[in-house]
Amino acid sequence: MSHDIWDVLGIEPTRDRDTIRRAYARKLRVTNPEDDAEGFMRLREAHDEAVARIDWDWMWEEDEEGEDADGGQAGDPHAASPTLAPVALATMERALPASPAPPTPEAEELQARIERLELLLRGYEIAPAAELEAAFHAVLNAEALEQIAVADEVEARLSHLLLETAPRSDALLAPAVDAFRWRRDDLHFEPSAAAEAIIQRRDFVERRDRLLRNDDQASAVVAVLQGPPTAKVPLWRRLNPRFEIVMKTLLERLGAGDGVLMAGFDAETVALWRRRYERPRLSSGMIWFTLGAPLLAPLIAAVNNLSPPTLLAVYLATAGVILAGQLFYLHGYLRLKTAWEIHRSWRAGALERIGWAPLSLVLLPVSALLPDTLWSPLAVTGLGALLLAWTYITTDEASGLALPLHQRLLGQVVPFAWALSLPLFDVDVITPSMILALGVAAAVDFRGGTQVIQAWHLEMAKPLRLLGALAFLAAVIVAGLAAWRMTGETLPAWAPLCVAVVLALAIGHRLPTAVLGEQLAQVRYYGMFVLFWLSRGLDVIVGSWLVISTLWMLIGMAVGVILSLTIEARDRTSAR
Amino acid sequence: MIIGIDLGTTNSAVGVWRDGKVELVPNSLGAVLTPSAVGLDNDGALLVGLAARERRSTHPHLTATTFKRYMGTTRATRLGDKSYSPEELSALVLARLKADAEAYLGEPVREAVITVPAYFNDKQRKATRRAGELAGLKVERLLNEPTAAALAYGIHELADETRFLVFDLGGGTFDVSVLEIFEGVIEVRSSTGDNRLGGEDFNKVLVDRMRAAHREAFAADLLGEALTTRLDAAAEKARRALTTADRAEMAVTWKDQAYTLEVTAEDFEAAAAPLLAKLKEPVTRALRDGGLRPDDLKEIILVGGATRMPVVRRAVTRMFGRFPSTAVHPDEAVVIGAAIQAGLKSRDVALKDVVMTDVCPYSLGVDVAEQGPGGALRTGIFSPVIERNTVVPASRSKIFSTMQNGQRKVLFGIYQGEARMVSENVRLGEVEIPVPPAKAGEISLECRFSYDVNGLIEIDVLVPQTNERRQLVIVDEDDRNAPDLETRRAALAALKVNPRDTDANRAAMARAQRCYEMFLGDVREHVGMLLSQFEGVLDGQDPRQIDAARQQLLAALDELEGESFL
Repeated sequence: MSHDIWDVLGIEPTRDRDTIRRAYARKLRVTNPEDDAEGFMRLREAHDEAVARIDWDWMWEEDEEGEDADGGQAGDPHAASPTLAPVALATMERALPASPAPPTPEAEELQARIERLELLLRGYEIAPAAELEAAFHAVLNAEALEQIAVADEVEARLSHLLLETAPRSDALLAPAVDAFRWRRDDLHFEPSAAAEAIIQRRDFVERRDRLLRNDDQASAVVAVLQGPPTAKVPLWRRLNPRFEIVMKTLLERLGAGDGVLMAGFDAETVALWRRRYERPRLSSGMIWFTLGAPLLAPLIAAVNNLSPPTLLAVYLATAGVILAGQLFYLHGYLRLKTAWEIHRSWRAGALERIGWAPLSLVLLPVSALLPDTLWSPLAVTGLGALLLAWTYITTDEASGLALPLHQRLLGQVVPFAWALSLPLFDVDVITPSMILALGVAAAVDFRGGTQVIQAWHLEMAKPLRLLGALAFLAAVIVAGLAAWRMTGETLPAWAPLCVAVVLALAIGHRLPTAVLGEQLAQVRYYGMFVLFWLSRGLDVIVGSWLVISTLWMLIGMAVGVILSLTIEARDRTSAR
Repeated sequence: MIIGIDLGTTNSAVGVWRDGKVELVPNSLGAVLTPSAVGLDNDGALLVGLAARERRSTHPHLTATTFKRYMGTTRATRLGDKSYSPEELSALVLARLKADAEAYLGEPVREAVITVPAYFNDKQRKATRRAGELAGLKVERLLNEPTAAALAYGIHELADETRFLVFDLGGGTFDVSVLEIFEGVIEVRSSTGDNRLGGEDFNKVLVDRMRAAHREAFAADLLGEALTTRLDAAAEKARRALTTADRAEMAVTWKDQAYTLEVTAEDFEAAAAPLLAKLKEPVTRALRDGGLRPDDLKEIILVGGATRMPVVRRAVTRMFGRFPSTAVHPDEAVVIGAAIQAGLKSRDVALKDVVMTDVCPYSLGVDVAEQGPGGALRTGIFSPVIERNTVVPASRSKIFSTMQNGQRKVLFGIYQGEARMVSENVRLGEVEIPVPPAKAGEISLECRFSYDVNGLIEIDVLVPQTNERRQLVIVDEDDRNAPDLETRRAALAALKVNPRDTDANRAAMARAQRCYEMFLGDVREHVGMLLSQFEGVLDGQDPRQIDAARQQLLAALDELEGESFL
């Protein structure tokens, strides 16, 4: 096809647009679209191809003749860099007064407003965002902008101005994207390089602002990256697991080859931190774990009734395993975290993922004080419902009512610690309403925990990871049963079988749960949790809990399988 | 003889190419423009044209107007005990235009070129073509309205090398086209528009003001159709008055009460500002798609009745920083272009060197699914096969592949539009094709879209591995079970339509009746008297006397309410 387009057009190969157009016009009289659609389509394709080639042929030639043409063209800046010339010219035109014709009052007004905006953006004083926005809108509302030619010119000029003055112009990015209707979801929109850069920067600024709101670690990271490279970062800051994670994420984004994002940061500092993170190093999470392990000792002692020498041995063994793990990690044999960090939900701290519920604490003393009558569970339920609503509002960051992170964390830790230590006490001190209260408190805590379940499903796609996750689950359940035994009950002989069945069902229901959606999955987990504690409080044996949760899962699975089959059948018919 | 028809939202017209020039065909009332209105008379006959339009405010339930806006939908309009689809109503108007042309030419007419807004989609175009066929016309060509207007302008500029923009704001649609003429070829470079913006929307602005001014009085009939049509008519009249005057009085008679509202040009401009702002985007888009800057344009051609409005003209002047051209008649440009196209189609000698190429104003494509980074399936993404502003006729293909292991069939949803998600685009139909089971991605499918000069689409899907092939000529799902064209044509032909030669009398009567309802007190009595006088003359059945009496009646009405506004 490539060689005969010139035959179709009936001319010698050429790069002259006019010749091509004339030949096309001549041929059109014979093969016009009305009478000879096929012939016309061939002709039009040949024409389009020939016009498209004007550019590439020219580039080819540039390569070949590059050297010898150099001397001759040096005197003429236009010929020397033809690709740059139009841009340079356009820039020059922008710098000069618009046209030799006497400017109209509207044009003068517009010019004045643009100059004012420019002064605000480039001046020594840093103008407040509101003032910048007012100046920006003053430009956009200028009467002269109704003229399309002027509007186009101003659009180009403003986008360059905004880019050049970043990060001071950050407050204007979103208004600019709105005002110029730069919409990525519209195929009509073909962004210029500047527009593309502004949209990217707007996205970055939005993401950064979201990150900084309610997040001390993220602000610390940004402060570090924006500060001078020599500034010391306090150790306690760097030892926070989230500091490292946020830093890595940000470095990754900055390293994605995006010059615009880099505008807000000092290149040297960023490079320094990147080098630091490229070196193998001790993970702060691991350090914390090693340091924190001894604190678990009293708990383990209370549960297992172990002698101090045994405890010491257990601790040393654990520490040895952890240190060995770190060695593997340092030498690059252990690469678990990279896969987890794909999803942002995993990057969030574990406690943060669980959600917020300081007020759920109130339920515990209230339920303990209530006389154990038929009405007390109802009262607790009512309180719990109110609490759930309150939690919903305060954990929703978009609502603006979300409490600061550290307060949330404090609230989360206490009920959980309490809940985990419950089996240690005598069963008789636990009233049914207290158990109900705990169930609600746990549900409230899980309110923010949706992401755990979601991430769980996403991560379990690979068989190996699935096995790892299942092993973890089994360990948790067996540990729970072991703790149970300490309270006096004996574990039924078939309990391990039940654990196996539950695990098998957990594998089976993974897909259906994903299909059902996180909301439903969440509700189910609440249900299982509450049922567990209810059955515990009502002195039902452990086996019944397993039966109940198995039934629960079976129902969910049946619904899920039917749903997923229908959805899969629908997906299968859609094309890629 | 092929005729050229401009089938408009508000008015329609017909023209022919004869002896090397365009001749516009007058209707039975001697006017070029025939209102696109169909009504049912009290005696059960259908009225088409001015008579129906005049009865709109007095008999809103028996009159259908602006049905072009619903072309391609199944929305039924009830007139008396029968309901009509938009294409049947259009067919009635077309049949009347055909009869006018036959009377003018003195020979039967069977073929026509009909204009459609450039932004009409496949469904709307098919409906227009069916309307033509229902009216007994073979539709030789569906021509885009701005292209037609460009032809009317360009035919005199063929010697030049020039670029211009056609700004076509009609009663219900807005189209913008950027054209280039070189070496006698008229080439549409880009075409965009908004098929939900037109003069009628400007009427709404005035209607809303009127409603707001007399909120209590109209509160009980807020959604009543009778009141709405009456307000519409008053708004239209006021809007037309504002074309020449600084202020106009909007007057409505409702339940024997007169309500008025004085509107000044500034008020109107302020209230219409949101609509005027909507005009700019399609223009910018057309220029960008055409690769031109406003300075490259030699002229800006205004077409469509709504561009008569000074507010619109001012908006255009501000947009380009110069005055638009008045080289073509805004109401007649489209019909002139249609007539030229008819001449081109019949290979008239005078037009043998003129070639015109048009573009497809919107992108056409299929819905696809994509695998996201987390392995999640994202469905409903639009993948264009023919990009907008491709020169037509065009045929393009794209290769797709299967998504799942063991996939047995592929379903292509066909869409038109510019949004990235198909849910925001217009769905045209679907093609299903079986594929042999294989691993995901191993089976490829070639999907070919063909778009012809009339703007009609054909889709051809091929599985190279099995040579399985499916074709789809887009068919409206709603039409599959409809009775065939022949039966419908017969049914339409059997309808009792008011004869052409009494149209003028019916229109005059209808107007007098409207005036009777509009005025109060003495004036009403006076109109009543005029009306009964005219009825008396009509009973006499003497054509000459009737003609004279009609002229007299119209003159008297003109004096009472100002010039007729159609």
